[in-house]
Order: sequence, then C-alpha cells, then structure tokens
Amino acid sequence: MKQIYSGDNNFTFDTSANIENEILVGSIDSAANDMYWKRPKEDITLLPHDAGTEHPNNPLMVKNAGCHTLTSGSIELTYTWTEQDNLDQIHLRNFVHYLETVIPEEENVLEHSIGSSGYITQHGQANGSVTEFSPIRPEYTIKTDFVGNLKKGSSLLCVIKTDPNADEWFTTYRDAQAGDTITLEPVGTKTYFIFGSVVQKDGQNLEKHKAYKATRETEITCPEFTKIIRVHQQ
Amino acid sequence: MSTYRIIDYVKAGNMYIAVFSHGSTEHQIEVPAVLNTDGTVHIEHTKDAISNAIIDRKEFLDATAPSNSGSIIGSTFEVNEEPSQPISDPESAEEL
Repeated sequence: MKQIYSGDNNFTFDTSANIENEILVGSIDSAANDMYWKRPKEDITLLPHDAGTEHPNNPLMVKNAGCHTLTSGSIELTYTWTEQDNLDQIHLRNFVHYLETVIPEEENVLEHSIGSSGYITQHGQANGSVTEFSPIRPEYTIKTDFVGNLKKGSSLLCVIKTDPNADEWFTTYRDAQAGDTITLEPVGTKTYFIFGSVVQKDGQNLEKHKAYKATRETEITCPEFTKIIRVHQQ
Repeated sequence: MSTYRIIDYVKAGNMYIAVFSHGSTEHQIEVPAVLNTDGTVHIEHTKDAISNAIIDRKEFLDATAPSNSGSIIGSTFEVNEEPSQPISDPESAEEL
C-alpha cells in the first residue's frame, strides 16, 4: 500500500487494526495528554480519500480527509493564514458559515478573526444529533495551515480505506443519544460498523472502536452518547 | 511411519543435519541440538526436536500456494520513494 500521510503530530494511537486489507481502524481511546496534529496547506492533497477536491461554490473549501471522528471529549481545530496567502475574505466567511451550519451545537464554539491574515478556531465537543448516516463532519476544510489539538482524556477514531479499490468504499456516521435503540442494516456488498463508545446487543457489550461486520439487521442500545461509523462497499 | 537419518553435526551452533524423504524428494534439515547443563547432548530431546522440525517442514512443503501468487511474477514495478507505512497482518471483523 502507499504511504499514509502522517504530518507533524504526537498522536499516540492505542489500536491499529488492519481489517481484511480493506480498512485500517486506528483509535486513541483516551488521550494520555493533550495531543497535536499539524497539516500545512501544501499537504492537503497528500491526505487520503480524495482530499483536496474543491467545493462547487467555494474554491477555498476542499474535501476533508473524511476519516477522523471525535468520539468523546473535545478537540480544538485551528485554521490560520497570512497576508502572503492572499485569501478571499468572502470565501473565508463562507467557510465559517459552513462550519456553523454543519456543526450547529452551541457547545461547539467558533471564534475567528478574518482579515488579510487571521484564524478560525473551532472548539469542538463530541456531540451531535445526526440521525441518518451522513458524511463525516466537517466534510470540507480550507486551504490554510491547520492544527488539531486533541484534549487529554478525549478519544478519536480514524478509519482509513486501504482497499486498492478505495473508491468503492464509503464512510459515513450517525449519532445516537444515551438510551437510544438503533437498528443497523447492512448496505451494499459489505458493511462494517464501529462504535465510538461501548454499546449493547442482546444484553452483551460491543467494544468501543472495534470493527464489526454486519450481515443482517441488528438492534443495538447505546447507554451513552455514541458516534456510529459505517463503512460499506458499493 | 517415516524415518530420518542424521548425516552430520556442525560444531558452530551445535546443529544436527538430518535427511528425510517427502513425496519423491529427499530433503535436508538443520536442527539445533538440545544440550544438558554439562554441555553434553540430550539425545532423546534432540531426536524429538528433529522430529518436530521435520513435521513442521512437511506441513510447509504441503502448503498450497495462494491462487494469485503467480500473478505478479514477470512484472516490473516502481520502488516507492519512501518506505510504506508498516501495517499489521489482516484480521477478520467479528460478526455483528
């Protein structure tokens, strides 16, 4: 397989499972300390999953890597630029509006200073109320330098498609609230589900951040807020 | 019951060389001697070690090659500019 872009980071993954040479599931189950991950603007196209594809209406916005999900705790995402980048401020403000739209919860505080140089910082919590499987948020990033700071005690899930035919695979997610009972269905020719916290099936616990293969309809119960990641083959 | 014959002893590494037949071919195998605390060879344990090594080798010889193992023979590929990310052996996902 090709080299996976790692950028400049001090992330320490607790697990890394190669599931049937199709997906690589990595997780930080509870960050031992604050961890950072930097991605300079020049490296966007090195990210997997067609990252860098331009948004149809905002050329400054490009497809995100679409493989990382905060499953508990909090993270801080900061985008910075300088005068030399010569970025269109209308497009920058449009990105802020996009973030407010796709990450609307009031706990996810957004702060920014938009000028010829400036920054946008998202203080994100693991929350949400998405009830249909949807692209991992934010689906788009912007062509600026970026740093993500994962807070101590938080957990993060990363699912990278490693199948040579990666474009046949799709990663989506939905949220489940504490106490929810959710029916999961296989989609396409092969489906994996990964849970952001421990869930229950028939009274048995299913592990956090572990890939499960779904071949039939299954009902699960979530004792706490849970990000449910679905990876399926067309 | 198959047999083997010990044909030599190599001082470097305290290795015995044994030959055995499998199919229509004679194979050779090197197996470390099992030593006692006084440095002498424990004959019975060494015989067991050689026997076990032959069983393993026979399993290896009988293993079927993956169906697509020949598909890349004769092809030319580019060497990656940098080492690839090490990746663990594949594992199956548990059924949900």
